[in-house]
Parts: sequence; C-alpha cells; structure tokens
Amino acid sequence: MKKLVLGLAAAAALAVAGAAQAQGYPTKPITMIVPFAAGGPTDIIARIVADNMSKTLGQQIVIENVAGAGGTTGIARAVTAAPDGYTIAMGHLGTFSAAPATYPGLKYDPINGMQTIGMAGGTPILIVARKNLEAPDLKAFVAAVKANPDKFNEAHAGLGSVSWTTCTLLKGILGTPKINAVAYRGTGPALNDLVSGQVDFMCDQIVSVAEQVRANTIKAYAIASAQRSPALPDVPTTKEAGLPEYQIEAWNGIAGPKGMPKEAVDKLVDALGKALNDEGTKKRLLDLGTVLPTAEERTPAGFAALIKRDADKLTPALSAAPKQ
Amino acid sequence: MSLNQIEQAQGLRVRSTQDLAGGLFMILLAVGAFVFSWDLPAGTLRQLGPGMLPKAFAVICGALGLMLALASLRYHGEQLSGWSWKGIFFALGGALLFGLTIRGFEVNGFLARVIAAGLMGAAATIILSYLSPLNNPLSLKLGHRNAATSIFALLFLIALILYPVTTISVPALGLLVSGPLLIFFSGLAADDRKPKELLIFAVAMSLGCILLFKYALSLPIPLAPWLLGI
Amino acid sequence: MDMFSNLALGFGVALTLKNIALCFAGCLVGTLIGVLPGVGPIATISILLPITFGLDPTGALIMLAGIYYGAQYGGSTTAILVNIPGEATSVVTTLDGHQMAKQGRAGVALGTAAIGSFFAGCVATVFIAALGAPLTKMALLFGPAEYFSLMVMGLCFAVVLARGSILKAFCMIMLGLLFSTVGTDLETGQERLTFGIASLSDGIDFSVLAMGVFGFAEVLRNLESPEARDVVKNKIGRLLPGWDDIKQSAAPVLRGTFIGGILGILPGNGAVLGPFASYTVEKKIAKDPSRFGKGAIEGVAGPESANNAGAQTAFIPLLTLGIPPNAVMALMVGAMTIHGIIPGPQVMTRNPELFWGMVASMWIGNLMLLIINLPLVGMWVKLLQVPYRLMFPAILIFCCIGIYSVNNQPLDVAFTALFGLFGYLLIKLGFEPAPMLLGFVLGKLMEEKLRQALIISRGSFMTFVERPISAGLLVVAVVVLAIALLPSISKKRDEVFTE
Repeated sequence: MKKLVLGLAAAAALAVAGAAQAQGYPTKPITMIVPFAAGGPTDIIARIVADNMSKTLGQQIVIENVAGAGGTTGIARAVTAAPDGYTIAMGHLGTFSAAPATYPGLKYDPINGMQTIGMAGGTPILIVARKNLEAPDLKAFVAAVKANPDKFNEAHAGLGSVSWTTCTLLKGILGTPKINAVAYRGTGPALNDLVSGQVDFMCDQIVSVAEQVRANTIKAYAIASAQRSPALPDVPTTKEAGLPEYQIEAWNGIAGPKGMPKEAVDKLVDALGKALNDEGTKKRLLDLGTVLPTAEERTPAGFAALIKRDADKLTPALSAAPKQ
Repeated sequence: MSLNQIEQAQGLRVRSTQDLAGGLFMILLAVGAFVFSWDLPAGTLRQLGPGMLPKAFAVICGALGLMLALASLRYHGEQLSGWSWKGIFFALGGALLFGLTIRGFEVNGFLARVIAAGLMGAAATIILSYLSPLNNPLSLKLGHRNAATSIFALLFLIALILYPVTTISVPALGLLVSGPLLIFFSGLAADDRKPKELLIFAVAMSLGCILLFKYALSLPIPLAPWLLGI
Repeated sequence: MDMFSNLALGFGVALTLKNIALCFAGCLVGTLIGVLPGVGPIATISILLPITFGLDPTGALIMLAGIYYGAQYGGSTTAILVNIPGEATSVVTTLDGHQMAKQGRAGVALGTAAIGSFFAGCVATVFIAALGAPLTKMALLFGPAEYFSLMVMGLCFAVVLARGSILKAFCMIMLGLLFSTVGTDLETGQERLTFGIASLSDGIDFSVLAMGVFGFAEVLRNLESPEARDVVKNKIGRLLPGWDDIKQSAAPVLRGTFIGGILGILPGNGAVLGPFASYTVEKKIAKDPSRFGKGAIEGVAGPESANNAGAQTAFIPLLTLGIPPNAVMALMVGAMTIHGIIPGPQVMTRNPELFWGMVASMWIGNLMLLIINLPLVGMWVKLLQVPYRLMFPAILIFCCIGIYSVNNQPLDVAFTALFGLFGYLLIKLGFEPAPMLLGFVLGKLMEEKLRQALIISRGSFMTFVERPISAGLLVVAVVVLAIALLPSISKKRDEVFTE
C-alpha cells in the first residue's frame, strides 16, 4: 500500500510539472483521429508521422482509431470537433477526395468545410491481375476487358476503399461498368483470392502488392503514376503501357476542423514538415513504398489543391458507379 | 432442456415459462430486425443486396422462436426465476457512469431535462428516505418501496416541470475520478457490502489501475484533465 | 534436411541472450495482462504494441509473439478461475475448466492446460517448420465457396457441442449471425440495423459483445445467487495432474493438437474453430458424455491444446502469404509493417533469420510459459480469491478500462453495459451465449464469402456442391448434424416409449 501511495504522489507531481511548463499551443495532448482500424496502411503512416511530430510539438499526439463507413465516420467526427487545434485527423484519397461522390449523405465538406494541414505521403497504384490471365500486357488486357466485361471479376476492399475508388475510376475510363465487382473485407483477403486465381484483377497500393508481384504470384500490368517506382522498376507506367488517362495516386494527409487558430495550424504544418525531413521518419516511410510529398503538397494550400484536383478527377466515375 | 423431457400430450398448457419467454423473446427480436431491415434491398441471387441476409436470419430466428414457444407448451422445462435488479442498477450503472464520465459527455434538449429531473428526484428521494423513519433506501422493504416510488414520481414530475435544463454537460473526469466512482457505485450491488472497506478499495484499486495502465503501459487514457490537464 | 538446417538457424537467432530476454519479457507481461479479467490477447497486444517500437524487427516480433501466447494462456487462466473467456478461443475452456475449479481442481485444470499447450506448441513448431510452404499452397485452394462451406461446417459443429437444448443452441447461433449483419454493408455502403448510431456503423465490436455477454452478465448472475459465485473460492489443489489425469488427457491432447493445428492454418480464423471442434470430438467419443460441462478433464486438455496449436499455426498464412487469419494476426501485420517488414511469401526467403527465429522462439516461448505459469498459478489464484464483493468491482474496472482502450471510445463501455443486460436476459431465459459468439465471429465472413461466391459463380448455388472441397465440407457438416441429432431423436423415442 505504501508503495502505491508513493507511486501516485510521484505520478501527480510529474503531471503537475507537465501542466505548469506549457505556454501557448499546444498545452495538452492532441488527438489525431485515424478513421480506420489499427494496423492498416493509414494507421501506420499516422503513427510514424505523429511520433515525430509529438517531439517537435512537445505534446503527445494520441492516435484514436474511429473506423466506419469507409473512414467517413472518423473524419466527420474530427472536422466537426471544436476548432481548437486539439483534434485533427489523418485521412486519405478516399475520405477527402472520393467521399463526396461516394456517400450521398456525407456529413462534412472536404473542399470548403475543413482546415488542411498537409500531405504526409503518397502511394502509387498498380493494376494487378492473377498470374494465369491470358493478356500479356496492359493493351491486351484493356482489349479483353472491353470485349467481354461480363467475364471479368474485379476484387476490391469494400465501398469507399482505395482499391474500390481507383478501380471504379479505371472502369469509368474503360467504359466497362459491367465488370463484376467482388467485395472483400480488406485488401489482404482480396489479394489472397487474386493469388489463388478466384478473381481476375484488382487495383491497389504498391505497399500491399509489391511483395506478391516480386514473388511472381500475381502480375502487374502498370503503375498509375508519372514515373516508375524504384520498388518495382520493371512495371511500366500507364503512360508507357498505353492508358495515359489512368493517372491516380493514393495519398494520406492531415486536416482539422475549419476555423482553427492560426498559431495551431502553423505549428502543425511546421511539425509535419520537420517530421518529413527527419531522416529516421523518412526512412520508415520510404521503406513502406511511400512517395514523399513535394514542398508544395506539404502546405495547407497545396494539400487543399490536391484534394480538389483528385475530387474533380474521381467524381464523374464514382457518381456513375452502382452503389445501391 | 425442452426437447429432451417429454410428457404425454394432455392438451396444451404452458409447461416451461422459461422456454415460452425465450421463444417470445426470439420472435420479438426477429420481428424488430425484420422491420428495421425492411428498407434494405434484398438484391438478386447473382448480386445479393444488403438486406438479404439480415432478413433471412431474422426469419429463421423468428421461426426458431416460434418452435421454442410451441415446444414450451408440450415439453416440461425450467421456469422463469427472479431478476437481480440491484445488480443491474448498480453494476451496469457503475459501468455506464464510467463510460459517461471518463471523457465527459453532453446531452441536449428534452432528454437533458428528463435526465436532470430523474437525477434530482432520485437524490431527493434517497435523502428523504434517510431522514424519514424509513429504512436504508438500498434495501427498501416492500411497503417502503411503494412509498419511495411515489415520492420519486412526484419529485420527478415537479423537477421536470419546474427545472428548465437545456444542456447537461459533464466534464471529462478522467480515471482518477471515474475509477473510484465505478468501483464504489457498482460495489454497492453486493449483499454483504461494507461501504468503508469499499471506499478504501475503490481508491486503492483505481490508483493501482492508474499506475498499471497509465504509467506502466502508457495507455492514452485521461487521468484527470480538469485537475492535471492530462 | 532443409528443415533441420532452417530450425538450427532459427534457434541460433532465438537463443541469443537478448532474444531470450525479450521472449521472456513478452510471455510474462502477456500473461500478467492476459490474466486480468476482461483483457484478452487482442486488447493486450494493442495495448503493448507501442513498447516494441524501439526494438529491431526480429526482437520486436519475438516479443510480440511472446505477448500473444502469454495473453492467450493468461486468458485461459481467467476462463478457468473466473469463467470469463478473454477471446473466442477460450470460450470452450470455461465450460469444463471452470467446473473443475469449482470442484477444487483448479490447479489440475491449469496444469493440464499448461502442459497440453506446451505439447501442442512443440508439435505446432515442428509442423510450421516442416509444412509451412506446402500447406500454404493447399490453403490457396480455398476460394469463397470453400470458405462458406467451411463456416457452415463450423456452425454445425457449434450446434453439436452445445450444452442443453439443441433448439436453443440453434437460436443463439442464428442470433449471433443476425448480430453480425449490423453495420455498414461492404458492397453498397448502406447502413444496416445501426439506428443511426455512429459507433455501430462498423458493426458490433467483438470485445464489446464478448465482455458484455460474458464479463458483465456473469457478474450479474453471480450477484443474484451469493452461494453459487463463480470466482473460485475453493483451494486450487495440486498443480501437477496425477497419473489418472495424465492417462485421461493424453489422447485428448494429441487429438486437440492435430485438430487445432490443421484448422489454425486456414485463413479466415480457422483457429477459432479448433477448441470448439476438439471439445465436440472429445464429447462425442467419450464413454460418458454427460460428464462434459461438469468438470471433465478431457474438456480442458483437448480444447486448450487445440487452442495453442491453432494459435501457432495461424502464423502460417501470416508469414507465408501475408494474410492475417484473425484480429490478433492483423495486429501482427501492423507491427511488422511498422518495423518495415511487409508480410508475404518473400519473408521466408528474404528475412530467413526473422522467419526461422520467430518459429524457434515459439518453442522457447511455450517452454517459458510452462516455467512461468506452473509456479505462478498459486499467485493468480490468490489474486482471484479476494472476496467477491471486492472482486466484481475490480473485474468491472478492468473490463471498462480494457474496452475503453481498444478503441479509446467511451461509448463502447456503455454498449458493453447494454450487452451485459442482454446477456443476463439470455441467461435468465436459459440460453447459452457461447454459440452466439461463434455465430457472430463467423457471420461477417460468412456473408462476405457467400456474396463473393455467388458473384463469381454468376448467381449459381451449384457452385457449393460442384467444387469438390466445398462439397466435401458440406458433407461433413451434414454428417456431423446427423450424428448430433440422431441420439437425441432416438433418446426421445426411448422416452416416449417407456412412458
């Protein structure tokens, strides 16, 4: 019992000391809402970045996983919270650019109704297929799909996911909405069925598929970025492979409620920038296959422009996609 | 229990109130689920819709409930037994208090008014019954219970009409307060409770939990934001 | 021969002083946290994940694996002593383990569980080393149709193992399936049965449901009948099983290991089925099945071995395919990725020291668990022997903190209280909640696989019988059901005729 009391006294003293030294923003821990389950790609990027940002800010950034409805539940909670700078969120392409067209009753407006902080990292998207699909390259694949869209099965990780969003965009560009969409709970199980040949193709982030492509258990037709990826140098870009219209990248970025104090925004932008310049953090992000954002994309305005650009690109295909 | 014991059918009467209640309960749940999934499209066989399985499961649940209810009219089984209202009120109430106070909460509108009136009524009833020759309110005897219930109802109504609350908000109390609150309140559910022992235990246990979860495992659980800022 | 050189490499990695220490720390901390009522492996790993950030990947994974086994074993301890399963896999252990504890044989139950787990762990380690690669290929034969049939089979098993009325067990499984449909629809994004509550949009949380229906409801039931309280008050008795116990549990351990090991490989949380299947098998082949549910040692030895074997072989799909078969493994994927290792077929070739080091550390971890737990059992029991009037508030606060910490959601605690009330109602109505939990766990996956199978087959139900593996599984399901139903049919006939 004595030990217990001593321990508590020490704990209390520590806590009081912590509270006394703080001046200006931030004076208490900041909550970063990750709108997906712990362990997923967005969660990992959030934890890596938040770890370093906490050091710069002098206050812990607490990750809170609020999953649901393709990540829109958590983002809605974050951007409708009190704009005091103590609630922010790590969202992605789906929650910020695709959500308005995906979810008709969306409770937030990513373009006008939130304060962007900056992009944290991008991941290239690949078109991958089961290894015994006849088409040898993207051109043949596109031709085959266009000829018999009804014969193909496409796997995705649920409505609103990156794989669903990017593949719906692909189907929109090809004009083949009739391809059968097979929904999985997460890209892991979807990839499993692609490896075993139960489904024909899918679009997904390089992080998830790179190992399987290298192991030749699936084949990659193209990467939907401007440049080839150093992680998979043999995979041509969509431009090289003959489908230049299909350009999309999945990214993660931080935003908060509209009306945050300028001091909070500035400090968060600064902390994010420092985190992305930190060698250790950079290496951990690059190891994941992430592409670091440009100087422009790290600013609130640049990130907002990116959200807008991708929203414009995705909206036509997503709005036309069957949802009900 | 129901299918194994059998007696010769001599007309239908309730032979197991437990099974009958269980069957009716299943039917109730099934009907509820069916009604609430009514709007969901069932889709086609080729492309099952979101409503297909909830509706199918609800129908099966209802059918099983019906079978159970009918079986209770034929086969002998267990009878229903009493409830532990005290356990439900204190143990679950304690957990609810913990959930509501650990990070604070806010209730708006009419609900706030009802809750405020309820709390005030309950508090006043407990105080009154302590002052009055009535016994300890936590072990009210039947006669007293009726008296207390009517006092509560009266006070509740008065408070509801006279006390125009629009918002109840409880600040985030943190583990330092919510912990002892949970332990003490729920501990009252035991028949052999000893309030003093319980109070000491509540404080000691909460401190132990704080050290274990907050410091040893560094969980991001609020400690006492109103006092320490963490 | 490859296998031995690989294992030698693994032991070389795992037996360094640092890695032994990490493995030990993981096992100890995992057991400590896992033993707390209401905190199972999933909560434990998510709580402890951050402390591994500073380690190298191999060390971190060895420690996490230790935490995993430790928590799993700690969960079984709680299941036996307090009757609260920390995870779906220890649900069955409560049935007979807790009864043994009530009869003053808690020590034997815990000892049997530890020894059975150790044996299963040893076999599973060799199993992973020898069969990891070929079995991965077999798992790839499983498409959506096979998974669906597999789960139908699993649910048939659950009906068979149920205590008491089969009709009521059916009710509970269907109710579990119904609960599993709550949440956002995967394909269309429509909210189903969520009543507009945001925290239901991702479905009912497993830990919320399990903690409510088992943890809270159990407290309520115990409060109502003071003399039948479930925390063990009797003495634990001796720890090491006697010769008779060993003779009785040897065969169940062997069978449990085999069943659990095989089912654990199947991606899609086959490990959950292991203990259920093992229990059913033991109950069915026992000379006197009525002993089950009343403290039969086979009912602890078999499922606990199956549990541990499955827990370990569940690493096979993770390490070879990068596909997490259950929630705990999904957390492991997160941990690996944070450390810069992308789980997949290349882990074995690219990071052999990591792969084999982890396999070897599994064996070491199991040995440590045995060493840690046998002497510590007395301490656990003392811990859990405090008077119930203090015990249950402590259980409640652990449950509350545990539930809060999984998602940092205060509302989850309120939901758990609600499910506690629901579970209490079920107990009052004579329903056994264990099958409901299994139905709930399998329900989500079952719907997903059913819809996938039907899309791929273009709406033809024949796909389930045309594919040989799927057809085989369905046949097993039918046979199992028939075996279960026949005796009760014949028994009923007998009763009718004698009356």
